[in-house]
Amino acid sequence: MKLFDPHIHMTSRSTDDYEAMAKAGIAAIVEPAFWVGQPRTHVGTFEDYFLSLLGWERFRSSQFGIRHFCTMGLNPKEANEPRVAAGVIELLRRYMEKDGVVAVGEIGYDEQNEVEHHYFKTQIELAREFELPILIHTPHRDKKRGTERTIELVKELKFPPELTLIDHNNEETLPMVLNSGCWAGHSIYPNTKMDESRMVSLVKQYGSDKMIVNSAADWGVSDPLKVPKVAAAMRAGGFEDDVISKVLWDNSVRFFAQSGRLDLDEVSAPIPVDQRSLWEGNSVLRGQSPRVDNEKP
Amino acid sequence: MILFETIDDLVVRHLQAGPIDWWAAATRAPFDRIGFLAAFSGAGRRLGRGFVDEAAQLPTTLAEQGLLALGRPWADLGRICMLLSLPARTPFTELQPLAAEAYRTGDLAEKQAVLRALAFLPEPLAFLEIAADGARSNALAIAEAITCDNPYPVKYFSEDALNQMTMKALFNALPLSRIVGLTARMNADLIRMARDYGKERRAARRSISQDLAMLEQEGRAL
Repeated sequence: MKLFDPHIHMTSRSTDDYEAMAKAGIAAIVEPAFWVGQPRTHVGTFEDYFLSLLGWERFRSSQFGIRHFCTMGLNPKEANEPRVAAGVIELLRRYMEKDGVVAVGEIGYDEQNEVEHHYFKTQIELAREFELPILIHTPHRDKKRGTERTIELVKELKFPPELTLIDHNNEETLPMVLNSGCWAGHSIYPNTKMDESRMVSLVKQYGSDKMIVNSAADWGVSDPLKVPKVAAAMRAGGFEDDVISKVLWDNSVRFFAQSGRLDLDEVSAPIPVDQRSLWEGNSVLRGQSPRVDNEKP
Repeated sequence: MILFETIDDLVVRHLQAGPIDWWAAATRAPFDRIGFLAAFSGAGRRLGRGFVDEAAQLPTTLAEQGLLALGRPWADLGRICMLLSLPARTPFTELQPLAAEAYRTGDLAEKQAVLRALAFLPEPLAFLEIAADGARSNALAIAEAITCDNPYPVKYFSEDALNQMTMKALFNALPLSRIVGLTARMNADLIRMARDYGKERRAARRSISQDLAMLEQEGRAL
């Protein structure tokens, strides 16, 4: 079964992770632009980060047969950094057009202050202008209120809920997100956010429509194999393959395909990891011995 | 610009009833830097994800000029054509910085297209820094675009730069036969580098590729 991790910060992960993910069935990922663990102090650092999401990281991913997409945005934490915030918004206009960019994100609230509100709003308008969906981060602190405010803002701006993915949900926030008509993301984390068995219960209770699962793995203690682990937990929980596939592949494809930049046929086609051949027109053969899957004798 | 007209004709036929107005604006509208860069970025989805195949009935002009189109994405050919439209639309003093910006801010596919177009722009030597950056890239997709099936390096690289690129092709197993015209630039230093590299590999009991063996033999079979 093919799996999609629609929120993972691969920049912070190793090739061992890529290899394990490919082996576990992950065939496509979305890497949202986020903060890098400490605040950046120059707009230029953001530009190089955006370029790495479109260039080097995409190439790295292709070497393991995983399709890589990304989202672009000024994250809520660094919206509070006046040395970079306005400059990054200007920069974003240049990067929104790129082919691999499937949404504006992560945007949203962290401390839920006025500055964050301003940049959240600005970027929702930017998404409308570039006809892109939005990926929204919900805050760790005062999460329920932050999620309510998020939904209120999306409504106030009349941004289509079907183009809105609200992430990092838990038992307290999920009902209101589903009621709003937005898509609901769940980040499965080793200790915080959401875990596999709670996720299985949520799908049992709320169904599989608009439900999305990701690992949100990054530079902290996190696990890039959480999506396959949820697949296993769902199977153990009695779910049929079609429901597992809907939650862990189809829903992400459907949501991000609304960008017009994730081709349904292309993403559904199997990618044999044959490093001797061309992939997206690029040879991915490296100096080491070519790795060839499913080779006929 | 005969090459521009040839590719333009192919793209228009490929688009049929597609975004033909978009294409006209991308290649003919009065020049606007931001608009051009945005169109250059968005070309992938507007020109479709397909690859150029025999059905395109490529005119021989392309191969004669050294531009490989068969098997390449339509978006690649389209982006090259967009760059070739520029000399007629903007002064040369703006063309160089624009190509540099399209390259610097480009994703993998955009960078590849810029590198493939360089040999066909006016005064190709003005774009040497872009080509050199491509050859240095660690993303093989980018290094390949300047190294393989591209007349630029053999025509315009210094001997040192060409040798570095050729050695890198050996390291990355990019076939030397895809370095257009390499035989004409074969030189003693390159052969020495190849022989030293062969010694390193033998000492480490690693395999010797056909291309390396050939280069050690002064590239005679190339």
